[in-house]
Amino acid sequence: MKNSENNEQRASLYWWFSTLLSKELTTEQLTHYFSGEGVELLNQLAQESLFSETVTQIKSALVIIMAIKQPTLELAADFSQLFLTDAKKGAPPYASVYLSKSGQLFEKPHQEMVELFKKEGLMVDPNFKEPADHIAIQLDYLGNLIIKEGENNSQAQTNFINNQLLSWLPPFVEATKRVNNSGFYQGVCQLLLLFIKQDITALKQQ
Amino acid sequence: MSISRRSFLKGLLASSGAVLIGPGLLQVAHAATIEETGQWKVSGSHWGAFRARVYAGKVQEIKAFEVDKYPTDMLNGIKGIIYSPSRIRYPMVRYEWYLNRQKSDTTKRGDNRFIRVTWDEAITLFHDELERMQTQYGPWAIHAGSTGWRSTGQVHSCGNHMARAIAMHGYTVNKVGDYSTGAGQTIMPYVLGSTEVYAQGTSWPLILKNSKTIVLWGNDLVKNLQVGWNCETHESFEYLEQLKEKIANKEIRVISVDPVITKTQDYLKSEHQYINPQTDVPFMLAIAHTLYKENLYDKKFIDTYALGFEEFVPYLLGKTKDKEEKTAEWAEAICGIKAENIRKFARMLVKERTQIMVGWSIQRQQHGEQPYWMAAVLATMLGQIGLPGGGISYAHHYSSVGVSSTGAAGPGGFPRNPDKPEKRIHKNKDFNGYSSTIPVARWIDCILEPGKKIQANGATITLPNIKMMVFSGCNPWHHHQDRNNMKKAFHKLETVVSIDFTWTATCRFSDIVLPACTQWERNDLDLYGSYSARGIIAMQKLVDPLFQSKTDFEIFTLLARKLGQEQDYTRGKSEMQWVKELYDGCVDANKGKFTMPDFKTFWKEGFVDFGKGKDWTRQADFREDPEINALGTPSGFIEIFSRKIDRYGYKECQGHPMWFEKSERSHGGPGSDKHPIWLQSCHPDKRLHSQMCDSQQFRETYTVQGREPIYLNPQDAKQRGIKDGDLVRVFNDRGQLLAGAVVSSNFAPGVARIEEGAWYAPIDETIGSLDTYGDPNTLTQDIPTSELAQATSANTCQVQYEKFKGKVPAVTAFTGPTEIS
Repeated sequence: MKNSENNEQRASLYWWFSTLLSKELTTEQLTHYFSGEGVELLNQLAQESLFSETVTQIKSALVIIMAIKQPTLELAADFSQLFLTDAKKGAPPYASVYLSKSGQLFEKPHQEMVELFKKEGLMVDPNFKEPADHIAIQLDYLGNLIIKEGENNSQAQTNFINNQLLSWLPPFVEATKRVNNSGFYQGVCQLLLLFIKQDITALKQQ
Repeated sequence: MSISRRSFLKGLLASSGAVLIGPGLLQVAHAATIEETGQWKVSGSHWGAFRARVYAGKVQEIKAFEVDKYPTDMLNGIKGIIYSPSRIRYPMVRYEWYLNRQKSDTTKRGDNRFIRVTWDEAITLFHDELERMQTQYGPWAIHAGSTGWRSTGQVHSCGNHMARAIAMHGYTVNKVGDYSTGAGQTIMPYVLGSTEVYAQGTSWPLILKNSKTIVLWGNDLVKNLQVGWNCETHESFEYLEQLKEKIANKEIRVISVDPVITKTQDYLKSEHQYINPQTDVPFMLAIAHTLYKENLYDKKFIDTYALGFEEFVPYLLGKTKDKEEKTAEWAEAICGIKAENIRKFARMLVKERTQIMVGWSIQRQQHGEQPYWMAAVLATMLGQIGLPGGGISYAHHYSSVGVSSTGAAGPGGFPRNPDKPEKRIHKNKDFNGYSSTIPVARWIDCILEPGKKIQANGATITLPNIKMMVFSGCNPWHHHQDRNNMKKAFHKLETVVSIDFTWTATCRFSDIVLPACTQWERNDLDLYGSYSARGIIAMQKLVDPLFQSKTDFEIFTLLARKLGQEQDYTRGKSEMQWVKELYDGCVDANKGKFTMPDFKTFWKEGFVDFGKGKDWTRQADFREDPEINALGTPSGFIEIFSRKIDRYGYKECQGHPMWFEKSERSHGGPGSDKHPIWLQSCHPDKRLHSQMCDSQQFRETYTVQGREPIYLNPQDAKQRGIKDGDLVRVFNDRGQLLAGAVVSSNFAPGVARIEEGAWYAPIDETIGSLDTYGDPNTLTQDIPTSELAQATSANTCQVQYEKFKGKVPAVTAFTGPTEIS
């Protein structure tokens, strides 16, 4: 595969994760994971042996969800339980919560992202209204970084992944695992971590 | 960097990308504003005014406003409120309620899965429930009148917004009174003609100049003067500093009548008169008895200024029904003060100029009307009411009362009522035989015993059958008594709506939760100094509302829009136009008295200073001429005996002050065999009620093993094998909680303290479950003071405690709702 195609694929996957973690799935989106391109995507990811177990977990979660009367709402409640309400038993999707001594929001990791965006002439979509260290924002940025760098030097990507993501993703993913619900988002977060780890290994080998 | 997303959806995601990948979250920034180190802004709070440095959209640093010479260290907690993980970030609805509405399993409140909804849907749900209540039941089914200490700011005052918008829809149940001074504010108008608790007091300079003795009766000024109803100035502390000096120089004696050694006593290095909890009335009666028997009281003053002394004396002498003479010996057995010392105390009071300063704690107990009334009788017998540095006050610990008033007018508030002519959608005023207004602390009784008739302040109240509660900036799961009783009541509610910025226990027990922003995410203005009217402070928005939170103004504008009355609600004005309007109104009101800059200048400067006021003596005018300057009592005189109250025929509040045994009392009182420790739940030292408990780093400066402190007497602790820093299980038949032991000789044997406002954090939603953080209202009893005020009796509470054994549960509060698995 050509490098550019590979990069586009990588970026797309980061954006996919970003979408999944930015807000609840719509009924339309969810349908695609029952019978549609979502299934295809998961199947393709499952072919990678490193991911197969986690993809299976995501798929079983979808089966559980589908069996419930209002799957979209049920999954939304899962999303909320993990990311939107209980910051202690859940897994708030903000780096600050894991990296700052205070455990508060908008701490140094947020500031770093703000500085970075400023340097790059970017800003968070005002409608999203989340701190800049929200996982979905970081992943969105990473996708863009990949496309921008193209086939050039990948040092910026490596740095970003190491400093801004891998610094807190492991405890974040651990936190998701402590929450007991369908397991869909726990699977997604685990898959993200596996994918990032594989990605950084690949980057190092370049 | 340029932004891509859709255009690169190839490969793996080629065909499905459009569905599986949403729009990007980043944009190219507009010409960035240059921020070097940030911008300093000014704002205010109950804790005082401050300047804040804002950089990169974040509050970085806070420092006290330079006019404030005695800032509270609670300013250090403000950033922690704004950036707390407890913030409500989105409109949320309890999932089970969302699916089943009024048929939801209400026993699951407190064990919640929530889902996020859009603002549009949230407001629709809120509106539809109001509509359902009005059409299915009637105005009696909705209680939207319970309000608390709100956040400061006159435009966004949350209670006003809730009241105005909901009134545009229909009538609802309302309340009278509050949890702080329910008994005091009800009894005092009968006795001295005003609430006294919310009234300006004699100026400190006059007290410092004239008083020889100051009696602090259950009154902790240094602790409580840290916060104010409006933006607090802390000007009282200057006088407390002078008082401290005068005590050291033996110019003034200050005696604190209290079961505990207060922060004030510690600070002033003043004297202590220990008294058994809840026995102030026997002590006071015995003082009165001594004054009477020893002929030390001011007969002339009583003759000129008071009514009903002759009806009171027989009670004092044991010539009425109880046949008990209120001698010092009689009192000693109850209040724990030696008879001879009681008599000495009485003689001391009449010796020189004596100022009695009563706190609010002694009226937050069963029969809380009595000590307030009896203290006024004592002051009347001393005959110094209306003299500088003499008489009695009930508010010198509150909002800088005693700092002389400039006389300037403060800014008005956002209107609480709909404008005339009203366009109320539901005009139905039929409360189905229920009362439309209830005493504030009786709403849980309404839910549990609808239709029950109770007596309150001369009226018969029929408790309405409340089905829906709406709270805004109000946390009754902190301030109401007896959590487990509340759980039972909440099982009966169909719908609960909460509007707040942080996941209080109230929000966690609600169905619809709407995120307000904090007061520092909006523009507003406030009076600087509630009673001193020192100035006007600008509250410049520090940062935009975080997450999807909105200002109260915006939230209720959305509801008004749903009612088709947005224009009526806002009067066509924006937030900033309201700020300006209130400011301009204030300029007009002060015309001829104070010159104020135009709005633009004020907003830029952030402050208008009215300077200092003139010294003033409370009730001096009445003393000068009681006919012309009559008190607001029925007779115009001080009422030692109240015909009006007597005619009500109440059992627990009769024609004159009396001693009534409590349902629970320590030191040999009822219930003390099983639960020997009196638990006081006074106002906190490091919070404003429950506000700021969510500020994590600041909270950690006082918690013990992450729990709210319980202050324990060393002997009591030792007896139970408890050391400083241990975890303690505190319990009675009503509930149980975990707290962290602070062992201190400031607390007498049989006395313990947990400050109110500690967030409720039950292990689960079941009745009786252990509170993991230490909310004292898990243990307090929900009984009225009497038929008169029907106020809270939080300080009538007996408990037992033991060293906690077993697996320590994590604290469940300070975060969003938890699902119990």
